[in-house]
Amino acid sequence: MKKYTKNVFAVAALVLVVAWIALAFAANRAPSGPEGTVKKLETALRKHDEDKFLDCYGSEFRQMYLAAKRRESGLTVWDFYGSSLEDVSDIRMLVTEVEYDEEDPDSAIVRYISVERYKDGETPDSVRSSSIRLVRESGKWIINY
Amino acid sequence: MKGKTLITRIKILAAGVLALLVLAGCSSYGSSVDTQLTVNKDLSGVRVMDVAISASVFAENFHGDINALNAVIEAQCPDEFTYTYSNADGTDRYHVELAFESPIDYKAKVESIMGQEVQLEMIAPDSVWATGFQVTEGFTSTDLLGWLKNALVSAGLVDSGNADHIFESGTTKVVFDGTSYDAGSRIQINTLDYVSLEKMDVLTAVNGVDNFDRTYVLYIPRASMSEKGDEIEAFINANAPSGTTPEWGVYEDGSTVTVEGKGMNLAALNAFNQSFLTTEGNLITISSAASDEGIFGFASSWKEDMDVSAYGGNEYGNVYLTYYVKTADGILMTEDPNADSYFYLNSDDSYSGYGYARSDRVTTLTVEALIRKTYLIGHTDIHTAAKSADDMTRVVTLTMSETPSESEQSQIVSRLQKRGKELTEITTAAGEEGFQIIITQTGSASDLSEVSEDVFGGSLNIQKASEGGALNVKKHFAFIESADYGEFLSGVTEDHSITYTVEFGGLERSLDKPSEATEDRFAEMGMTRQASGNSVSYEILNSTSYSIAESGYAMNPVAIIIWAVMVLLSAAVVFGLVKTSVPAMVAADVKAMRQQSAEKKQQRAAAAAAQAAAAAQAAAQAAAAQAQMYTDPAAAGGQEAAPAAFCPNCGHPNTSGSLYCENCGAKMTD
Repeated sequence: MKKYTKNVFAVAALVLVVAWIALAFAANRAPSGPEGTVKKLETALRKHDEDKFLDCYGSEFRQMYLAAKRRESGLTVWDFYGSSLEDVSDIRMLVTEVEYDEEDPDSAIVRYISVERYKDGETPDSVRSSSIRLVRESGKWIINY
Repeated sequence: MKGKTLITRIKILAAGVLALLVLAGCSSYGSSVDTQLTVNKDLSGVRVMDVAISASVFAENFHGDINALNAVIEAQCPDEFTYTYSNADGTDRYHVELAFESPIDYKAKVESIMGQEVQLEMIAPDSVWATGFQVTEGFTSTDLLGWLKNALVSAGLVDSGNADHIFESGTTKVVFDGTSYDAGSRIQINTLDYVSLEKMDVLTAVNGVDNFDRTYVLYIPRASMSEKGDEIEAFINANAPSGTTPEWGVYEDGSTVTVEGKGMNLAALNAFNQSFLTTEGNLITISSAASDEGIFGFASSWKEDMDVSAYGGNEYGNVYLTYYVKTADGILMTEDPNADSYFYLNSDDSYSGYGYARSDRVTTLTVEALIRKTYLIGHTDIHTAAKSADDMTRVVTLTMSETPSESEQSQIVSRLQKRGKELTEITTAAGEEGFQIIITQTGSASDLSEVSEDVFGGSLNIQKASEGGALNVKKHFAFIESADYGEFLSGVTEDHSITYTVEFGGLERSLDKPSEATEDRFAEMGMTRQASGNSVSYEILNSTSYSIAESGYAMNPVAIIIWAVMVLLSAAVVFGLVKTSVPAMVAADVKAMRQQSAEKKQQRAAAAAAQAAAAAQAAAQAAAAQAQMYTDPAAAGGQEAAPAAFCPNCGHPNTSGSLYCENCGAKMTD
């Protein structure tokens, strides 16, 4: 009997721990929706991942970019981003608010604080509030370029 | 001769008739009005007009009887007059009096009776500068009785053609302070004797709401000093307020004398003025004014009535007076929109820091202005506790450069409470550096932006964002706060500064040490930054706005625990596995080893048995051979067999040279 009780407790404890860890992993999942796209953009910028970057903007942007690249050799997606990321050592886009359009549920504005840190140590650190508009196309939130 | 006499007689008769006619025309076919203006030393007095209407005049010019005349007078007599009627010796007499308390009162009553503005000046200086009496009137007693003339014509008691002649001026006298002077029907008496005073400067310094300096500076010409220098000095000394000593100096045309009082409250200031100016009617009143002066501002109506007639050193008894004003920091003196007179401070370098509001020849002067006092803020401390975007507390502590009165403190708090109705708590404290107003606001970032604007006006943008992810050990965060308190902090001292502190959550640390460029930018803006633990402080000079951006990270204890648990669990699993598997393996190994050992033993035993059998066979063969050898020496001569060694333990015959018994393993003896 004692042996049986011991085993039940051990199994219950194991289940609890596993559940807790599963929960933690679930909570750690990347956010979905407009915020998820912004986080994906952040990762793309931080890792200089062109494909991920293009994925945030949808197919139309990708086609536009490829067409532009055919015309102009040496073009990179970062030219579209608007600033060189070569000097940036880290970039964070910390979302403060997601504001859905009341009249158009497929449109939203994500407000965030952008933090860019530079490698040279001379450029003033950039911490500024920004916002970005996203639209939902085929169930996927992409940046409205 | 006879004819000449007749002609002469006719001429004389004609002349007589003519003279009679002339006399008749010029004589008082109207009634005479005798006037006596009696003026006391304080310029109060009474004007008495005695109207006498003889029976003949009445019969010739009036229709109706005396009762009808009295009825008209009773009905129409202005309230300013009092009168009595009497009749003696066939003459009707009216004794009409117009009493007054002052020249102003006198002038007002005359103008009310006549229905028009009149000239009336009356002064009676009694000082070292001027003595005597002066009165000048631009009207006569018959003008004053014009109402009666009109009433009589209207009532039909007098023909309109005779209306202008029914009252004629009689004798006119002026009695001042017991001395009688004859005058014309339009009174003009001047007995003034004076020495001149060039000018009087009146300086008022408003140091605080109830703190004033007042200075009088008199410029006395050399001629006046030569004539009455001792008397003037005695006069000034006699009028000098207690605690003050007149200071004498010179200017290019004579002497100056300065009388100065400092740091006086209103009551002391009034006493000071009253003492120096000597005349009554010198009074300053200060009353609260309904004026929107902002949160920290207060307005008072200043009204000063001055009578400088005691210094009137000329024929008019007035003084050339310049009224200077200087205000302390945070105090303004401007025109009072509710006052009758204008007020404007003209710049002037006669006295350092003073401007002049009035400059004119006056006997009396009224200065009205609005004193606007704004309590200045010496230091502003802003402390933002930003645990998260939804949990923030901002405490703004305003330290005033001077302490307002209790009433003003209450008003300031009340004004702030009216502005900040939500999420705002307002308290006061007596800090070491001065009176403090503490404004505490709690709420989310967006809440604070709204309620801050309610209280402070201007704008506040406050944001905080943190990375999500329960398993991120290091979570980045960013914080932005920009505020503009321009209007709210419009009244600050010259050395005002803002100490801004943002305190993040307990485990949050500011990550970024500002780059040199950022430090340079801070220096240009008069800012310094100091980070310590989970808080960052800024010192902001010469600005009422700021923009702060901080980023950093926070260690995530939940993630640390989760990871620790995972590591521990992994270790436990490994440990469990090790614990359950090793003994079995060891046991198996031991068993195998034992089995192997047993097998080896068996093999050794079998080998030993086989060896024994072989040995036995060999022994038998050896014995046989021995026996043959013993019987056949030829057999022994070919190869000599090794002798067997017997085990001392079991007696087993072993191969010669064996160290151990091949049967029992016991050590063979040497």
